[in-house]
Amino acid sequence: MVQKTEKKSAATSATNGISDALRRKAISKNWPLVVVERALRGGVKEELLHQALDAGMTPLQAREMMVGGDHGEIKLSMAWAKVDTERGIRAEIGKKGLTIDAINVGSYADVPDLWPDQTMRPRGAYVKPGAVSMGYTIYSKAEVWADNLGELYEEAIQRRWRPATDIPWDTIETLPKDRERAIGQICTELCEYNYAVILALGKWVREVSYGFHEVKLFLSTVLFDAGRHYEAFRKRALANGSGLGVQATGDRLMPIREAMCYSEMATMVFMVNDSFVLSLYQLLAALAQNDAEVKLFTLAAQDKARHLAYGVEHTRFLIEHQPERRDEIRRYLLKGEEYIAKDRVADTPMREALAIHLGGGVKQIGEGFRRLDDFHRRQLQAYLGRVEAAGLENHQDVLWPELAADLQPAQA
Amino acid sequence: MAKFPSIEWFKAIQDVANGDDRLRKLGTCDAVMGVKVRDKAYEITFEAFDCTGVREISEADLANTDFYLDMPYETWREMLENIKQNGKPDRQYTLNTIDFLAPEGFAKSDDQSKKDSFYRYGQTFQQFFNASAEIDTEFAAPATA
Repeated sequence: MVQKTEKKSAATSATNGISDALRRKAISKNWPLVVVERALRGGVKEELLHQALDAGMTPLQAREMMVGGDHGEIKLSMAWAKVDTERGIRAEIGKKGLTIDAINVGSYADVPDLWPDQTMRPRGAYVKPGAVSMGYTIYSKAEVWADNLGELYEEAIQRRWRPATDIPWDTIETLPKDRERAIGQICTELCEYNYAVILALGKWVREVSYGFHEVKLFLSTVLFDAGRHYEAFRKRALANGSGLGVQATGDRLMPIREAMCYSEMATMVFMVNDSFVLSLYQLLAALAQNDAEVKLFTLAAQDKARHLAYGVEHTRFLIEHQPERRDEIRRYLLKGEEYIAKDRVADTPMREALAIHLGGGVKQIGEGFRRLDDFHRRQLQAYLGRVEAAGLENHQDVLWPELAADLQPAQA
Repeated sequence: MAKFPSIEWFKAIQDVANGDDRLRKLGTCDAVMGVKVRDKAYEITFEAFDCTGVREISEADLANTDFYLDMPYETWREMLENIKQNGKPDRQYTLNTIDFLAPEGFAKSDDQSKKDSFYRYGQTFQQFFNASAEIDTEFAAPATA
């Protein structure tokens, strides 16, 4: 009995040559039977029609495929599959999986010094006449490139973290009011810095042409990192009774916002400010009052060190390929240093909050200021080390004067 | 029981670290870390998700590492004993805190951009040393002056 039923359902209807199964499926998907009939008459296999129905193809799409009039032949263009791009690429999977660098093989590995294409065409794809301009303004590889971009992008993805659950927020216990207020003030200003980075990169990342997709990918991770840091520091400020403090003077952020070219912005962010901020993260992790702060600032430092790795490598690449810009980059450094120095004087809230943190409380503020001088010296030495690593030697000889004073040992 | 410092000790914690999913979950790390303890020097290589190599080197070869950790033997001992107690360090014994509090730093390199690996993969290096809590460490007698 069962066999009979199956035979009947598999049978072909006497009318129109459409099997019962195909007829039922066509009706359930609102296909006119005349379309099915025409397709079968034109030589389309029933199996293909089942696939089209299962895939959700509409009757209109089916009609468009069958452009052969009454004979109902399916004619595919397939011209897209015959364009002159490099084929046969099989990238190797390495220890880190299939990375963005691993797929840079053959002609796809060619990153030209200039990429004048205004469209969103992926590097290596065939040019489509008539594609619209996206209004990019950065076509020079040297302006944005670093040889470690692919590695840094993959690392950013691999080492990502989640402030809501990766930080043991429940380890934060009540702190003395002065220390809690100090960390709240520091986190307020760090939020502001990260917001400035988001604004600056958000503006510049769209200017970079798609030929340098590694740059766009990496900068996107930096944007995400800055958003994450903003989120995490705001959470710390609001997790234990401090609340936010006062807005920063913002001097150091001005040249970031006002940068007239990408390399100026990149120097301000990825060489000058990030360098000082990484040292600050290290300080905050070292002076943490609970496991939450240890992890928060250690993870933030990991991200910031990655951003600096781009800054150093980018500056090195730029100077190597456009040595005539060496003095220009040095001017950007000095401009950034000038505003850092201004902030040191004007930003009383940050200075006092750091001294309270370093001294261990407001009663030890004198010791805190002495330690702050030591910290500023180490912060500056690390910055000078990165500038030298980027190919700008002896920068201490031309350092912005007010900042150079930090290199002097603190008075006992 | 492995003696600290020795190649056997570093290989033992390499095995523990690589056999523990926690190191892998921290993400990729490419760095060559040096360790200097008294007159001994070691090179520990991290590649992708694992610690891929441990070997004894000459003190001069520390210059070829991205950075090297250098502190008095007694501080090494305090740090490792502290890690042994809880499987991780108290706040004053994290690698970062030791580095911050040491006047000349704990992580050293002539190239600041290479030294930045210490911060870039801080959690990975900390997890590597945390693995020492899983083995029994024999410490040498205090050095005579």
